[in-house]
Amino acid sequence: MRAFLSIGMLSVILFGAPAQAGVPGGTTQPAVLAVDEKEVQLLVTQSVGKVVLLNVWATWCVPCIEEFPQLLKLRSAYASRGLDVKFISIDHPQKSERAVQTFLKRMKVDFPTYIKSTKNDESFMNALHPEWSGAVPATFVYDRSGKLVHTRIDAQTYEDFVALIEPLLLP
Amino acid sequence: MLSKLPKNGSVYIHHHNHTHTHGGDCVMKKPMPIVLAAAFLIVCTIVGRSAPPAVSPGMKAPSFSLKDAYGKEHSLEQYLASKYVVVMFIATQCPVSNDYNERMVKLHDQYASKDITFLGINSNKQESVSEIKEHAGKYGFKFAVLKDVDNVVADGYGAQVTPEIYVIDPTGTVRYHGRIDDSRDEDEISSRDLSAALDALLAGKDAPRAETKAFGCSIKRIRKQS
Repeated sequence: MRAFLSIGMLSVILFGAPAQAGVPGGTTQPAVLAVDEKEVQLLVTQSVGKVVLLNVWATWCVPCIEEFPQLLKLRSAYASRGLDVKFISIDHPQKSERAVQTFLKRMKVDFPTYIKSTKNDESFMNALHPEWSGAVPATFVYDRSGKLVHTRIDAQTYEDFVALIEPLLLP
Repeated sequence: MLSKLPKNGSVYIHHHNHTHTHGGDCVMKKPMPIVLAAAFLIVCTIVGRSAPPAVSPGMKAPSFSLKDAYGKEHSLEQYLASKYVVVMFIATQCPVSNDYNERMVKLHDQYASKDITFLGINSNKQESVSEIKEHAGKYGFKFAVLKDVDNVVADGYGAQVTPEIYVIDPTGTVRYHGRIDDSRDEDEISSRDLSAALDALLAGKDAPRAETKAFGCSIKRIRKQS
């Protein structure tokens, strides 16, 4: 069974190298990169200059699954205006590996995503926002300077997301 | 901390209404004193449209009176005569909450004889009274599960996630807030925070960690119109 890639690979992503990992059957599927509480902020800082929408989800979370396609649509529609959408799964990195991969494949995700690697969930939550209760889905929106400007708990609609990002994006 | 902010309902209500009316941005319409403005900004970054200010340890627990799945009314006040009340925001459909069903029953069994009352509260808009009744029967809950219609009590406590626990002492003060333990998987638990809090409180001490948190399902709230 293929383990999730470690943060060692994250540096590869940061510098733009291909992020493909082999899966059984000879096809390739984008990497699911492990991030801990220290590394999660890198996901924002690596994209300074862009508006970053960071979505925390899990395969066991029905509203997350329902929200996911809206975020993929948002990513496609607004990439040209400087939006970067990043997904972090909080599934169990070993026990739920297959479920995560299967879902991402079903969603036709063709870019790297992330999975929480630390067992210290509170530190991970606090790294994103000290007041976050841990409820998912949760979405954090950062402006182009990397400053957190919006936090949304529970599933949002496409229109909700557009209203959040539109004022932050390039014209 | 949200809990340390001045309890000024207008800050929150203003934001709350505004998000509904104008699609989610936090904008101050009128000049505010600096402390209020700072509080406003902090609240705005986290709560979004659905999450109210949180009740933390040391604060007064908001009173409530709710019906269980059989129509019987239960108030917080009626149980404060016992030593402690454990209020548990739970769900019928949330896999995380459901992973704790057995553990909640065991905790109830363990502490009921020590004069501690356990109350479940279901605030999810999509989970009906009949579903709550069936769920409680299926998992053998011996504690009442109350239906929080329109998530009024969840709003009052600032509860956001299931499962989420508040332990309230006989004076009505919250003494513990957070998770049951630190792992959905029973074989990976390293910190049994609710048990530790109850044991400490029963021994006349403070909870070793009065506030904890864990990942779980967001409470599905109704959208309140301004």
